[in-house]
Amino acid sequence: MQPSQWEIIVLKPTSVFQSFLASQLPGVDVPDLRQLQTDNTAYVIRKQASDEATLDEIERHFSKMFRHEISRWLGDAARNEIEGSFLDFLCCFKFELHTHIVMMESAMEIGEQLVRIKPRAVLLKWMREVVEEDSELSTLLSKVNVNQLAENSTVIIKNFTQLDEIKPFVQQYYRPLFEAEMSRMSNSPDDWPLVESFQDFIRYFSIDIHTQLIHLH
Amino acid sequence: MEPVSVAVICVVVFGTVIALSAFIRQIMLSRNKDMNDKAQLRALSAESDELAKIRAEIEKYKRFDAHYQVLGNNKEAIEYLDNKVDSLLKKKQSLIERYAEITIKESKSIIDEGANADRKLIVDKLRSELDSELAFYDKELELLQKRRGSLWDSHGELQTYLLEQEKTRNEHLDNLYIHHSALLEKIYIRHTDNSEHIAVEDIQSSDYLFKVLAAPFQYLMQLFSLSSNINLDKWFEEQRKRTNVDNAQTDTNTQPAPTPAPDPVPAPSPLNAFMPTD
Repeated sequence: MQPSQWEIIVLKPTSVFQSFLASQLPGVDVPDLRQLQTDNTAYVIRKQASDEATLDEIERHFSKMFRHEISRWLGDAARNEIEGSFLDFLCCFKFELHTHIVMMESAMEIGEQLVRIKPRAVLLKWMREVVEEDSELSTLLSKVNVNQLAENSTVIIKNFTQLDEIKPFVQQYYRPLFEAEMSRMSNSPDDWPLVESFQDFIRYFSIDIHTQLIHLH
Repeated sequence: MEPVSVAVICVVVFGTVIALSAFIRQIMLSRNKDMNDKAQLRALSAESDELAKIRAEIEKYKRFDAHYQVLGNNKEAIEYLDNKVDSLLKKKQSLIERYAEITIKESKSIIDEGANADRKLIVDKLRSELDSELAFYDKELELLQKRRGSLWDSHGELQTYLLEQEKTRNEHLDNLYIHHSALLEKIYIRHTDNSEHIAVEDIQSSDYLFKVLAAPFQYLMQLFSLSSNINLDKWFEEQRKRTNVDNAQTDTNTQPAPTPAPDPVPAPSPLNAFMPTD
């Protein structure tokens, strides 16, 4: 393990972006949020020394990211004044930050796609059972939802040429992926659930595919 | 598939966690929420600065008065009406500036405390009252300008210039009003967690849900300007691509169906529950 030099930003569209898209093509069905929140673009920036500096970096690049998000739906030549407003950008997207990164390409610079491992509610349930005799931890966990558990979950930098390569890849490498994701929560394998097969893995985790990794550094 | 040459070359960890208990203790502190909120407060503070700048520019505004030197008999009556127009625009300006301050303050409180549907309905009511008041001002403005026009007896080009200046000033105020109304709607929708369930077809409903969720969505839709050079093919291509990604995700994330058991069905053994099926 080594300190991360990189930070990944995933932009998750909100209803504000949905409403923007709906206004652009009246009469055409607007995608629902589930579709808008599928295959969200991931962006790479250099890891900064502080959260304030990370925000500076996001502010510095927001216009480029905003234009890219609009171009994914309206084409590369589309232009709208909205892409100049930082507040509009922040209302149109929630940004999610990932510093727990598994490199499966020789360098970040050649990464073009990524796969994210997301803990499922089954893992949270398992965790609650593990700590049920500790009243402090039990009380804490009873207030936690699965989205909180999934924050900063592991992302794997790995290029694919076809979507149908991803399932065999996860089936083959589920074990190191599982270890990477669990090491975020505990360094001790004794604290981990028993995962001896891909089927076990997929009970506790799901994967999200991000076909676009854009480099901002 | 090509074999991966290096399985996991490095796991890069920020802030190493030693034990599960430590992880659980820090899980409630959401860095994502904190960072998103901080970024929004930053952007809002830039909006406040912008508002102060606009106000300063308006303070410096110099009213056109060259026509007083050249007008004939009705000069005094025209000057009187000019002053009425100016005072009306000033009243409108002061109303909109106060409203803009309220929207920024309300937006900050949504970021700090979360969206509150009841408070939102109060601000909506305020906006609806302002809508009528501003419409009244616009009507008054038109009447004053008409009266002044009927008195203007020479140098018509100066009247055209004056009207153009007043029109620009009025449009400037209208844009400020729309900008701040939209700002509050965006922040509100952004912080309404269950806004994620709005479907466009729900917009037609007319209950409470409509007022607090779908109405802001519909209102916002009218305020976005249209992009130039839209490529409709890209829209459908993107939908196809995302459907394919969704299918690939579902395929990977779904547990394979258990192999049909031979007849008669034996009682499942709990020991087999976690065994691989292939």
